[in-house]
Amino acid sequence: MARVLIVDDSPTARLMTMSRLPPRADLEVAQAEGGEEAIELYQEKRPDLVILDLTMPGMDGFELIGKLIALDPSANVVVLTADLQLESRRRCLAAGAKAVFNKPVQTEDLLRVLPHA
Amino acid sequence: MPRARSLRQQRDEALAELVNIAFGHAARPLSELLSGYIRLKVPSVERMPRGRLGDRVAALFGFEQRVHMVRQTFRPNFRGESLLILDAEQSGGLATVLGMPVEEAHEREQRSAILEIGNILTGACIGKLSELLETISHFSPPVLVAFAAPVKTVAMPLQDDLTEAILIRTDLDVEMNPPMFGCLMLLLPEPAARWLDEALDRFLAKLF
Repeated sequence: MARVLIVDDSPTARLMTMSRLPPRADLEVAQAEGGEEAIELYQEKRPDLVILDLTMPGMDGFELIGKLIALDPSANVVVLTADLQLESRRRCLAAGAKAVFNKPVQTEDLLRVLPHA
Repeated sequence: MPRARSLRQQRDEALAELVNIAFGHAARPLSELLSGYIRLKVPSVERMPRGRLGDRVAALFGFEQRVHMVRQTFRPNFRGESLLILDAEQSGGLATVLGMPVEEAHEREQRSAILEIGNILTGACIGKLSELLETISHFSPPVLVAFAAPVKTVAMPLQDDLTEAILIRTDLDVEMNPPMFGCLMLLLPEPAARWLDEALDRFLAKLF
């Protein structure tokens, strides 16, 4: 079983990410609309992978990465963003993200970061 | 957490996410042009009949505010025109493009800088949106239709067939520079608005 938490304020973006996950029977996927909900769900479910958006109202992705890493230094966090600036990528990685992918994400990208079955 | 949402809500949410992606793609060339890192904000998307647009824009900027406006048309499936409005008072980014304080630059140079910002934002937004909706759009060259004009006087010299307006609000928060504020409006004739809905339906259908 691999637990995945998708964090994005946009329902469409969450659907897009879900649709790009590989068809694996052992995936358990939870969704959060924002940072606060993501932190609650993280504590409750301890997911193997967190996929989060960078541009969100309220707590943005940078802040959320920092909070998740503070909560669990081994948290496996990857960022999905439409922001192509190299500085954004650098800041995500510096904050503790394991990878940064551009939206719309491809299944091959997610296969690289999903825990193996 | 799951809530029943109308088809209209789902289309609007999809459009907002696609616009979000499109603006993200504009951030890199804009950050190079403005020489600063751009903190992207979530763009807001509102649909409204064309008749309400003038008042909405005036309320957004303030009736007495001076603005610059860049117009560009696009076609053929996704067809209409875009109007980029920038707050003329918050033009710190413009100075960076010009390489000198705005008041020291010739008007011709200021106009050119505004057109360049408009060209990048509009091109990235419409271009990426078109790509995501699986069509190809062609653009006319951008035209500066208002320069530091009071917002109440730029009340949209629109073509008669442009019935539907999509107002996309974005804040260009450039680090190391004063913020720039602007909005991009897409004005569509009825057939193009219908095409957009159908394209969004096709896009959504692939997600389920």
